[in-house]
Amino acid sequence: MTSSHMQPRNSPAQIEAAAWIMRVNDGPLTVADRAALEAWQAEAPANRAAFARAEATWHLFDDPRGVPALDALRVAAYALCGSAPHAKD
Amino acid sequence: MVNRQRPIEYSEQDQAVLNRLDRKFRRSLLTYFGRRTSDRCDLEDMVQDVFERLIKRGSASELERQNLSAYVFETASSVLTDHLRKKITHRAGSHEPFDQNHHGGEDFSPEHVLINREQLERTSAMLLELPEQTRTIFLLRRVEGMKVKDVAARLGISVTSVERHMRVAVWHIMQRNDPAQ
Repeated sequence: MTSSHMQPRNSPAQIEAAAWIMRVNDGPLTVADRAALEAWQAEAPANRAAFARAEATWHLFDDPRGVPALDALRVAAYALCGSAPHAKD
Repeated sequence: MVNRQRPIEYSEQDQAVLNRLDRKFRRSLLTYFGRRTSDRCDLEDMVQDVFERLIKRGSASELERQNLSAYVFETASSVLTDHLRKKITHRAGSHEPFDQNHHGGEDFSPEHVLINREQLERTSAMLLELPEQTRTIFLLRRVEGMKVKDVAARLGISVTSVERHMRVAVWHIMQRNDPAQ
């Protein structure tokens, strides 16, 4: 992780939004979590926008069909986690 | 790439098991494969592959009383991996350009699907900018639909660590897709 765009720059809202979208999708949020998420979004329009962007990013992968480049990455991923011989390159 | 004519002789008993498997799992397996590969024309073969592997192991009938469903989808997962791997090596070997119209599912081309594909294509390139482990974790969790704890177990790392990689991956794609950045 050496390239500069991997480092947090001036978008803490996006970083937080990424963390939130993970929590939302890793299991049902508690009532308190849900309230915290809503409060955080209400704090600033940038937060709300960032969360919307995180959601869009997440749902981009709802239907992963028809993308050969992605299929290739999936094979490589399986190879790396030991289910198949390494088929990359 | 898949042999469509498979003149396999089954015993009466195997044939009966095969029929039951077909009735019970065909539809959900088609959905399973359909969601995970772009090759509409290979779906039937892949389903068939699953059944044949189960029969070959001779364990299907005995498993029918137990957790057959889990076993079927475990087999499906390995059929899928083999299929995708074959496709990649086949393409790499022949240097054929990938024909989207031929392989990409002619029946699935309303506009939003095309737009989504285009975005996914670009996003796949963004995933390549991530460290390999981060990319792998993202794919297993988000595209293959594994649970965080299963990804952690498979890679021998902690759940916290998987979560961190996931945040990095999601954040990276957000950044790269952001026109304002």
